[in-house]
Amino acid sequence: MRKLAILFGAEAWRAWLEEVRYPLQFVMGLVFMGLIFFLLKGVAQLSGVSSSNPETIFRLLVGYLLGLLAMSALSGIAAQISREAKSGTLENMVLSGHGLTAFFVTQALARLAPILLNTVILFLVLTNHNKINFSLSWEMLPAIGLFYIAALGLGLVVGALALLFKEIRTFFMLAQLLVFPAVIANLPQLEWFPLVLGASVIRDLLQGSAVEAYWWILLLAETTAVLCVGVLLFELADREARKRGLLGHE
Amino acid sequence: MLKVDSISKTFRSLRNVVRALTGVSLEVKPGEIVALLGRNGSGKTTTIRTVCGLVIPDEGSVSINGLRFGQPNYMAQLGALIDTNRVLFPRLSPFENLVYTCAVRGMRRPEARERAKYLLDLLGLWEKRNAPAQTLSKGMVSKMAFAVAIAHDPPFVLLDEPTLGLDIDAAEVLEAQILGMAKAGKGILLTTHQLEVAERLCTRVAILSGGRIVVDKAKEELLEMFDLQSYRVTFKEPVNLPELPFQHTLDESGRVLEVILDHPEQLYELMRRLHPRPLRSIEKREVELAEIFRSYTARKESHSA
Ligand SMILES: Nc1ncnc2c1ncn2[C@@H]1O[C@H](COP(=O)(O)OP(=O)(O)O)[C@@H](O)[C@H]1O
Ligand SMILES: [Mg+2]
Repeated sequence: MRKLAILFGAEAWRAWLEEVRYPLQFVMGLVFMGLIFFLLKGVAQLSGVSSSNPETIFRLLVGYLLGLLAMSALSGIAAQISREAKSGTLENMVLSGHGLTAFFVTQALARLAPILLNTVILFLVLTNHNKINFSLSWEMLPAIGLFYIAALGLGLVVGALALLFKEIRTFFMLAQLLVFPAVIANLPQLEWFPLVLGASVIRDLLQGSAVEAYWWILLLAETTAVLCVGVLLFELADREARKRGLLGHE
Repeated sequence: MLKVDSISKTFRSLRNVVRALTGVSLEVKPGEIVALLGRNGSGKTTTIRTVCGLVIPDEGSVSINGLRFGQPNYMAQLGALIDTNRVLFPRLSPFENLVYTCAVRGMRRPEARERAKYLLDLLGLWEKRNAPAQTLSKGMVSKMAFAVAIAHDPPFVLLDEPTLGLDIDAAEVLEAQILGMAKAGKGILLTTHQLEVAERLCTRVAILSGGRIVVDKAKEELLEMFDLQSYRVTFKEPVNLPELPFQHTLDESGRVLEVILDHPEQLYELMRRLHPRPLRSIEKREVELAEIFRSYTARKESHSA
């Protein structure tokens, strides 16, 4: 536990330095993501959805923001692995005595603050702009927490692939193509999928409806399962990479 | 004590199988500087990466002060320089890189800052403490790689080609640090292609050839042993050499022959073969580590060929 606290402290400090040094990047990201939302809205209109329907816009907005959050967790670990391999710092991670799983999960959490800030700002600005009402409750915290952890679990699976196969950019593209529509559309056929389930719980909460205990339990169970699978696969990939002598190679 | 105990490693991929190490054993005691020498591809880096846990061996084990890889505190015993070119977080300054390296290993922030300042001073990098990492010259990056390796002041330090690409001044600074660390009781394992660096620094020499240790001896003992086997023969006039089954070189004048025998007794054999060429003198001579290295690696390669 003390070790994890040390690791988190160091990683949070590094995240702070790397983000603060490039504040323009933060602002540009914000603007860019806002613009994409209007693009999405335009596409939705073209395909016949009335943009004046607040229900639809709300669905689109929440789905889009949750999709962004999920993608950051999903691709974050793999992206960080290739970055560390390129700068040659992955070896030093290993030499620091922290396990790679602990290292990359902690790193993702340490970098969560700016991403959340981003999401909240966009949410407030866009709901205000589109005159959407929403309700807030404390249950939002565990809901978003579980949604994020499930995404992180999937991120570990992608990270495991990155440890072994290095070049997985195509995979990212596909993941993106899958995650956004799945989270936005909320298809009944995909209801069981952890990210879709989490997104629909969050949407219900924002609309002020109560979420039954059944859905909470299902969400918790799925999230735990995804995280366990993610950790397991990541540890296996870590071991395999060390056996093949690939660790730290670009 | 750092102990490498008969490790073997074969790398397998779809296309090929490389036997990198075979039964490699080594020891580094506190205060020792062990030079691990070998030609390209002989397995030096793989040995070092195995000690760091970056490569898991097929057989054998590594321990430091009785701790095995995977046990808590194993890594705290160890600092390593693996790649002199790639070691820094590009978005952090040298100072921040070192503070991070110390902090992530458990130092408190003020202590980490002190240590970072000390290391930058030590290596003459204080001026550059806030420069973006991308603007550092190659030599500075190499020095930083060294600083990162010893940041947490570990009892054992592994250095893979630490002076590669350094200018003379920078190399001298580094060599002085390495000697100082050994004097302070640290155990050091270093690889290098610059044999004169190894000769200046090390107390012990281990030579790898084709993934096997072919010699592992205290430097003095090794040099002494070779002193008994190394001769300079001077002829009165230029000669053509007969077939000689020892390592030898004849200089350009054709009159000075330097040989390294496998055994002192082979001196008789040498004399017999050189007969009746007119000798002026025959004397023992001092060998350099480079010649010893060549003799071991050449011998091994002719055996395996
Ligand atoms: N990850 C790896 N996969 C396959 N072969 C490897 C790997 N790492 C090293 N080797 C091979 O192992 C042998 C020893 O390499 P290395 O330890 O780097 O030698 P050195 O550092 O002495 O030059 C070489 O033949 C090298 O090609
Ligand atoms: Mg090497």
